[in-house]
Amino acid sequence: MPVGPASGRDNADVLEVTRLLVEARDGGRENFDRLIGAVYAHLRRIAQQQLRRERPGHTLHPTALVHEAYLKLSSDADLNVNDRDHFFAVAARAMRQILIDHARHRNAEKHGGEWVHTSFDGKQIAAGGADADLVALDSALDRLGQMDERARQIVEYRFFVGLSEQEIAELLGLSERTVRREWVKARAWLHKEVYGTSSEP
Amino acid sequence: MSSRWEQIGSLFDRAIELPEDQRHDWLKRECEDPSIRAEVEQMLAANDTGQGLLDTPVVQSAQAPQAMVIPDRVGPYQLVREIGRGGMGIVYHAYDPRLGRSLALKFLPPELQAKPSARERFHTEARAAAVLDHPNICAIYDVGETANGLTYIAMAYCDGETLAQRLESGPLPIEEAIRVASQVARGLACAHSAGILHRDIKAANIIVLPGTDAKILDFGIAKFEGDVDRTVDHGRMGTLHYMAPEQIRSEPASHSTDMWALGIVLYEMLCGRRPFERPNEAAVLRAILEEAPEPVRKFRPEAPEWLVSVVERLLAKNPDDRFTSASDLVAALSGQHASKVAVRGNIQSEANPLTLTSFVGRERELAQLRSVLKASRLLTLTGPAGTGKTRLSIELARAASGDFSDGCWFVSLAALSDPAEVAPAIADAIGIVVPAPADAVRAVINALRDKRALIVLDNFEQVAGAAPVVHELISKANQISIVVTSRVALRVSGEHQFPVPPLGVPSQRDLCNRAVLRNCAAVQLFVERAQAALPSFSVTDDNMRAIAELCMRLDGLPLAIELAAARVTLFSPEAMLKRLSARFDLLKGGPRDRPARQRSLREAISWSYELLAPEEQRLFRTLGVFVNGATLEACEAVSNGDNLIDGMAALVEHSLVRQTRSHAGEPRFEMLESIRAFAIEQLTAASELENVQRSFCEYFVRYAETAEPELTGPHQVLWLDRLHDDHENLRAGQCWALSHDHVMALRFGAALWRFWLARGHLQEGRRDLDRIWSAAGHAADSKIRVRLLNGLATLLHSEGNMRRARDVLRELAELLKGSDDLQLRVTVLNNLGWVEAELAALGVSREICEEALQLSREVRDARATALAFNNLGWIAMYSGEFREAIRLHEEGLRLRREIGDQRGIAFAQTNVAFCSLCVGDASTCSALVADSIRMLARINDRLLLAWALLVEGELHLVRRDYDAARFSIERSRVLWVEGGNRSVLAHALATLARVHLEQQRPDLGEPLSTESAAIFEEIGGVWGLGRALQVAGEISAAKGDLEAAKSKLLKSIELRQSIPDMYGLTQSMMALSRVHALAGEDFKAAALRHAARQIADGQQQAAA
Repeated sequence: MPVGPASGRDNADVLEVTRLLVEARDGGRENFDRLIGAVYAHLRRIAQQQLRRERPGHTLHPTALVHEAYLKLSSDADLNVNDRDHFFAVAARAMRQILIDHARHRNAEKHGGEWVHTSFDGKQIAAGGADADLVALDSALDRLGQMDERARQIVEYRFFVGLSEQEIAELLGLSERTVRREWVKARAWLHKEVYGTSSEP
Repeated sequence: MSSRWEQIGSLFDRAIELPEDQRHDWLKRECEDPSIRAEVEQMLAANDTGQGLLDTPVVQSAQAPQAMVIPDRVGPYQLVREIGRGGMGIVYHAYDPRLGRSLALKFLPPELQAKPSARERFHTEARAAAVLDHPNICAIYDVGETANGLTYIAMAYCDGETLAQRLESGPLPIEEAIRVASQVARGLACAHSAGILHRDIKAANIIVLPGTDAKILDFGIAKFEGDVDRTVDHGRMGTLHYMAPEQIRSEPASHSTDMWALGIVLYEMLCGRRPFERPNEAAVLRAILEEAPEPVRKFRPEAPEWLVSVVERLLAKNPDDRFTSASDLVAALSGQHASKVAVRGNIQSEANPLTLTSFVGRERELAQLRSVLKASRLLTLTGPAGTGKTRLSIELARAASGDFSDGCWFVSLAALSDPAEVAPAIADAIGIVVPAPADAVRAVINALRDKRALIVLDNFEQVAGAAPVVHELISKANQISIVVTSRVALRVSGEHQFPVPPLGVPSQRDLCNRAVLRNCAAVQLFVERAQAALPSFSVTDDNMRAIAELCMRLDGLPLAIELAAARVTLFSPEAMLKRLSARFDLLKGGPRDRPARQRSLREAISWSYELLAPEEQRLFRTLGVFVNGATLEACEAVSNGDNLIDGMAALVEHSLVRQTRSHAGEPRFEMLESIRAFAIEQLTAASELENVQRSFCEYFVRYAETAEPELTGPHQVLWLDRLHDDHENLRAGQCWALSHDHVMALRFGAALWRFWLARGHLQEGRRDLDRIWSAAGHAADSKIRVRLLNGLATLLHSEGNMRRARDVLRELAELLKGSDDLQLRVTVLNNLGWVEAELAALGVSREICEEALQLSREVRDARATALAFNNLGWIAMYSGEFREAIRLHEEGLRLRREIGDQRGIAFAQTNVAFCSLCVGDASTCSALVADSIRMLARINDRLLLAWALLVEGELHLVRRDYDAARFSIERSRVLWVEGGNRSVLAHALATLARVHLEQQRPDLGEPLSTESAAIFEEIGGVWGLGRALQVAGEISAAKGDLEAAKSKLLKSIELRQSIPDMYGLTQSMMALSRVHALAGEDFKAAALRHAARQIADGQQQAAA
């Protein structure tokens, strides 16, 4: 079984997030920002606990993390389907922020550390220099988001949270085919941005 | 979306559908803007490059693409995500909104669902595992099928990493490896005893939760032993590296197969690698079959020897050479483990008087006895006095302590003379409360059932009549072993008698062989003790022979040798030999009424005695009167002489008296039984017995009276311990007084009852008080008599005999009417008020308690005022007025804190905790009850501890943490079954019944609720009866017997109305309403519900 959050029982966090989620139903930019802040704080606390506890060679499990966080919230509060979509959007953003912050931090410290990437079949692939790439990816993703908000969302769900295409389709109200197509496109564009591929015409 | 991006996207989408070599030309045709074209070209190139950052997701997703194929809801459960899959199933994390808990759902994989055999195996797994309820096994909740025919098992969700994940970062600390192995072994022991093998123990199947229990997952290929073997290819089912040789050979698996796998796991935890890692499968299999693993020490040099041998034994190729049961392994692991951390039992206690010196010359016997003890559970060490049986038994227990995970206990019977006292003495030693000596055997059996414990019964000969008791213990508590030391054998079946030989002595012809002499155990003992007495003492060629002869003369009796050796300060061995020989020669002509060895010992003691100065002799004789040793102060008071310190020092120096330390931490002085018998003999011969006994009794009655007021003050623990240390002396004193001095007997009784109460000697105390009262009640002044009766009433009440308690108290209150001893009147009124409340005469009780409150304030007795508040608080609780009860208990609590009465503080806190829970304030309850449990455990007050644990159980129940609830209540129940107030026992049973009810196990709850109701009925606990009947009624309803449910609930309502217990009343009414609803009687249901709400609202308004 995967590692769940060790002590995500931070009730203050949970209460705050729940309250903000419920308030954010009514929309409002200010609420949304505060919600991101609270989700971010909550997830980061759990993520850090995992990162501290785990030794080199272990991966963070954002999928598990986000699901756990949602589970906890939904059991503590009366949340509806909209809240669920809302939560995942916010959590994906928060997760991205956490991972990028972590990569940036390690990149800066030049510890030679790197994210251990894990493919779907569970084999671990050590990706050299991945931290620097991740930082580059982050800003490319921002640029993509300015052109295509939905593409950014798909990348966040898929890459930073690890949701399946079906789950993403469900959350965004799209067909799986569309998600797949948008993903391929966004990935190609981001790779181009990050690696600066210059292909000969 | 920007139009430029839209354009790019659309071009890309279409281009990517084309064969690579056509894309370039196609783009050129479709798009005129070169910058857009270049961007699309670059994206296509990036896409074709394949491996990039985004292709290796930053996450590990355990989700396979079909993760969400199974519907979102399965039965009552919401699926969250897939968390793993294996040959026999896919596991999901799910959530049960009814109980608000996470769980894991295991599905038979779709490809196997169709196969009936796989499906059957899946059911078998569920059936097998569902019977297991153990903290180290992942619990199975439920088995079911989805609407579309998928079979699933619902089990506990274990939020932790697997041992395999944990081991990725290297081996575990040794202590932790032992802990995990021992817990897995416990889980296996439970499964094995239910006839279930795991057969797939491996690191990936063990969850390690940080800081708590390890859990075995996935009894996935378990099968019922003896059942048809459905797992046909069983040889291959275990994971390769963990397969046992017999599995590879396709032989049937057994308990030992699981032991092997656990051995691999333990090796892995210690060494960070598996023992048979080889490059390919064939080599692994061969290694498992034929090769010895590399030694643990190679990778873990610091691993202790015993642990290494445990691993070796687990990895024995022949299944029969491994541990035969998981419990044996648990014992080996936890026993050994414990010996380094904390030992259960008293055998290692520093206070043990007999082990302060080193142990010489018994290595062979010890080894022999250890192996006897493995085969035989009742071992009697026989031999005459002074052969060293006691010491040998202690050393044996120490050496074997590793085999007894639940503890080794030393029980000295030296001070007893009545066989009926044996079981209570055992109970006392192992720390359980026994109210009635008659119940002691049953209580001890209950406490020791299924326990791997060793009991040493020392000095059994004078209570030889208790042999059937020992036999009963050994046959009913069928995991324990008993070692008895006795001059004669018990002669019961199953007994292994081991005559303890004297120490080896040289034979005549060896007297010249120095090497032989030097190695002779008796000589070694002499030399060692002589050097302890006189550090400059050394063995020379000259004195060696004399020592050897001396040992022969003393028949190799360790005690005699010790007594002699202590005298090297006065005599050389040669001189000693001369003197002793003369005596023995003299004796040879005398009557041979005693066996030679006993004569030798007696002569050694007597010789040692005669060498004392007259003043020391007098002191020695006097000390014989103490039944179980004495403090220096007691020795001084009873001996009534000068120079006590010097005298005691001389006696200790000459090994006639041993210095130890008491429970209260004070020095004590004790005599070995054979020496004490000699002292009494001398006391009688000197015609001093009567006088010494009187001053002994006078001292102890004064001591008890000094202690009595302290037992409710801030130093109560110290004083309770002190009385406990002298319990045998106090008993002896009281017994003497009963036949010689009635006033003194009354004084004993009046002073001691609170000690009996606090330490759970309820029935013994009550019986003694009854005896004193009937023999001597007329003798004393009224004040002492009243105090005694008050104690009697308190003990009666605590025993649960409330009606008699009330009668005694009413009589007392009558006696005291108009008395000017207001203090005493307050005490009696308080007690009477309490008992009336228990008997549900709340109106009468409230009147009495209010009178007590007023009087106590007049006499400024804070303790009595606190008591009155306590009683009024309970009356409020019984009436369901919990907020008022909290207020009253808090008043009492404030006063208890002022006095510093720890027991009272803890009691009041527990009561506030209970009331808080009843008004929905679980967090206050939690904090208070936790603190109270700590305090009560420290004071060692079991009666109140049981009550506090019960409240803790209620708390867990409210929080739906059923396992924790069961654990607390079971702990409470154990304390109560063994002794004390039956009313709290009945409460515990009722609460336990409710736990089962809420866990949908009404069958388990039913007998408990019935028993609870029966106890309440018997003791007249109306309030509790109302509660028990409510549970019983709800259980009947859950079982579908609606008529029985109605009648029980109606009776409960009736009772609760009569008290009146408004809170309970509404509860019972709501329950009855639910039953009517089930019966389809909607109108009745609604009417009851309405009425209950009205009452509850009325209560709330009244409270406000």
